[in-house]
Amino acid sequence: MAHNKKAADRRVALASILTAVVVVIVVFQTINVVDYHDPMAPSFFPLLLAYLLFACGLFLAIRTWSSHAAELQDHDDEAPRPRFGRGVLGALALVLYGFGVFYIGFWLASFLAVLGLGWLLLDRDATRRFMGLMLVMGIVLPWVVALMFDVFAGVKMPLGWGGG
Amino acid sequence: MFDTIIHAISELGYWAVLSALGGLVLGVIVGAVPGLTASIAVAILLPLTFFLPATVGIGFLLGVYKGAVYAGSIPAILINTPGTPAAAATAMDGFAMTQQGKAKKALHMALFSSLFGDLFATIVLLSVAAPLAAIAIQFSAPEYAVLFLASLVLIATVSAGDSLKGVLSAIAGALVGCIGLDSLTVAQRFVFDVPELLGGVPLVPLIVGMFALSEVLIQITSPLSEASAQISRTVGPPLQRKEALKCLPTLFRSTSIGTFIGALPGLGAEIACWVAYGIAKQRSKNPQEFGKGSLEGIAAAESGANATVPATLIPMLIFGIPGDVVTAVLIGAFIAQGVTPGPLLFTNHASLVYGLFALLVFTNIALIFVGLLSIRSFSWVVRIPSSVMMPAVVVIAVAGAYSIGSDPYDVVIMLIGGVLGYAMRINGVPIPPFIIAVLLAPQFEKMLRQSLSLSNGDFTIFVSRPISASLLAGFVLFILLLVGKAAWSKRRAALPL
Amino acid sequence: MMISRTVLHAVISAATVCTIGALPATVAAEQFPDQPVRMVIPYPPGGALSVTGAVIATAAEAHLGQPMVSLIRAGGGGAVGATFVAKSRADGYTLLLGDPSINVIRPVLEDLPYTADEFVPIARFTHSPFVFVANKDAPFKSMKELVAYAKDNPGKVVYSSDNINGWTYTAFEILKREADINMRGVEFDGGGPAVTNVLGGNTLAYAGVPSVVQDYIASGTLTALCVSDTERYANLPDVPTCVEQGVDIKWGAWIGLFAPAKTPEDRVQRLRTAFNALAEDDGFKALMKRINADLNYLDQPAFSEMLSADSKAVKN
Repeated sequence: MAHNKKAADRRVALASILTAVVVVIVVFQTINVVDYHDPMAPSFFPLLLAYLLFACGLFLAIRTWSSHAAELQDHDDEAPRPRFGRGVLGALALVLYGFGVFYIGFWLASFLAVLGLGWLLLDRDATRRFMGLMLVMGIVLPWVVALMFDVFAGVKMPLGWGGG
Repeated sequence: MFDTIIHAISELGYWAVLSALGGLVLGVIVGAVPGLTASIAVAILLPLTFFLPATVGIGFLLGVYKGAVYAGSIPAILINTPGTPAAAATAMDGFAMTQQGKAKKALHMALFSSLFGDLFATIVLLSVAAPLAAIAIQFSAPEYAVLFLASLVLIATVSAGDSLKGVLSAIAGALVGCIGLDSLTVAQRFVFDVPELLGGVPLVPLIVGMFALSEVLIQITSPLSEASAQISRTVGPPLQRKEALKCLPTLFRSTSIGTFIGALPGLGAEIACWVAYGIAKQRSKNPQEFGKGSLEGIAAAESGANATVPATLIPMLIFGIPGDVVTAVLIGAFIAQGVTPGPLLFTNHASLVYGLFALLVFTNIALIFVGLLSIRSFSWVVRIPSSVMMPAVVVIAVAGAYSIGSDPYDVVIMLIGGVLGYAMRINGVPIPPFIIAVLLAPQFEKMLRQSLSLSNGDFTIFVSRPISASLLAGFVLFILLLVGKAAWSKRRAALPL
Repeated sequence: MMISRTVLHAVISAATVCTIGALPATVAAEQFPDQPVRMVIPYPPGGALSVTGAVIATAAEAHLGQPMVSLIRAGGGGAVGATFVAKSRADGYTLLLGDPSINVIRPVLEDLPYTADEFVPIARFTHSPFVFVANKDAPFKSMKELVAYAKDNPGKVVYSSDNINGWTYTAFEILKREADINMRGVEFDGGGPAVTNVLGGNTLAYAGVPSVVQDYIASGTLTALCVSDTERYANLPDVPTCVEQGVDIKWGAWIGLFAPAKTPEDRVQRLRTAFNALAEDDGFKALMKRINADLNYLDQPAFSEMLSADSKAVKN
């Protein structure tokens, strides 16, 4: 899928550097070293990783802002940008579904999720007639899945009311 | 000895064979559903075997194990969601092939490779188990540390595309792997007083989230013009014989790797599939094809993963040491029958062991038919438009995540994995190194520290022990080769032709 | 005399509240359990705990009237599962299958999300002593020799340990203290790798429960040094007790069932009665024998005593 490579690289570099810094801070704040048998402290490895992350992020940042950048720029401006707005909606839908399972029960939450996600996805295919299928699937599928997991894994899906 | 074998086989009876077959079918169903894994299924079925005769009960569990490890490749190929962590490497090329309309070839290749790997490893199990185990038992922390390091480095190179981002991905994964209770010093790392995090981040919901949920988000956000071009609706032609034969060298190599890794206590299919894949990519004549629909890639991943199934039985039967969660449960099954795996097993319970070996070979053959049947049963999935398929996948994924421990925690991890996976994919950061690092980095760290603990802080332990020294030498050689190859190809590109 | 109206009201209200409050409890006691009871197993499947747990769960249904379901919550060396039960609803439907490491030692020595007081013991099912073993090529063949060797070579004996504050770890700490010797342990994060390493000659010694080590002793792959109990172990009659070898170690591992501390007393009693009956059940006894678990049932009062004695010992 097309993406603006230079901008992407910049985001990744930034994220890496920030994460590395956060990790270092957290490590120094929270990991208290108790003296046991091994010479390498529990804080050593995460710190090492954080430093590596920082270094790689820096390297990536330098690479993005160097002469290569100009070449990358040309290819990607024509590619259509991904529709992030819908992505946020999609992510929200997923999160709500995940938590909804525990508050309103698996069956109801799944029904709503199928409808919601279906609507978000169907727009692509531009065929509204599938919504009917979605409705049916939203009712039938949770039952089938719940039954399958009950039989094969002995696990019952949550009924809701904040239990779990 | 031969009469014991014949006697054991004749003693098996219908029930054992039937239950092994039934286990195989059940295992395929379990493996094909993302979120259900062999470990979960076997752990739940364990108590059922207590009251069955040993060959029936354990044969059943073995069938489930085999079926699940194979069948994880089916959803990996069809919907880019590994059914079990061992199939994650298969998803790379398998799904790409599905998108190109060649799903059937991919499925057939996966089945063929699984059978090949399984059979090869079973032969090894039956013939050289004892000497192999005697070597395996000498492996201690230093040897594992070198192996893990080599695997990590190898994996960072596996990702198609930008290696720098691959390294970043691996480091991030390693950091996630550090979350939890540090086993060697009981210090809590990155736990933030959330009790569930004490056990670390569970791999299965993370994988399901990063593969399946991220795919959903990607499809939601992909620009309209790309929409219908995305997924092809046909399964395509079946695998041709010469296509399969071309992959034979890869199959042999990957199977050996898988058998070796499986025979080492503590290592299982999830690691073997990536190591086999990575090495196959290095040795392939078409490395750029990997990740874009290479049959070789599928062959390597699946044969490597399935070879571990009989191989993990080696340390289990000879020494009573589990290779992974499933073998640990199998040991439990043995114990519940009053049989302790270990040095006295062959002396005291030879007929049981040989009976089980016979069942292993039987399930291998049966898998041909069960596999073909399951491919036929699942192929129609490809014809479903993804807008209908995706919500169904999400529902199954959520149910699967929940079923692991009936804990909302796993569902949360899956959701986070989904968002993270999406963020990574749109920025071109590859996911496989992340996942492998989550699995391997903490192990590497543990082995490193245990090594130093063994040697009392002395770093020379890695070279003073013969096995680890040779492994280390091999690793250094490998790195030199890698660097050399990269430098040489850069040179060639620069030269005017 | 006129009793003040307020006092009368108060007394009547109090009486009503008490009667009403008592009703659910009595009703519940008769109905409990009316849904499946969950037994949380805090270690990954396949270990001694999960097999014993599976046997208990299967056999308990007849005595509880409801099925018993094993729930595996592994992680943090048992901490995740224990915390889960400690914080769960104290209604008697969620129990923990615990051991000394989780319920006695670690809460005292470590900063965990739960404390030992958050549990009330129901019953102890098994008790096994530890058998100290050595690799067959080790320079000592008995506990006496081990102690002598360690005294001559301080810091040179390397033994396999499982987790910090785990079963094997504690056994060796006691040994080192009693015999006043200096040895180095390597924590291998679990019994499995620990045994593997002593088998492979990477470490010299280990301490495990008989069901794990007896086959190795019988086949000669490991040498038994001593048994940490008051008398010799039935299946290993040739192995002397540690006391006989001059080191006073009497400590073992056990597996027991716990409920969250706030569980109503009558429910706890109901569970105890059920498990008391279970321990007498022949079928159960046979199953336990099959899995080589040393059934050594200790019901509630004795169990509590043992727990508090142990925890005092650890604090020292």
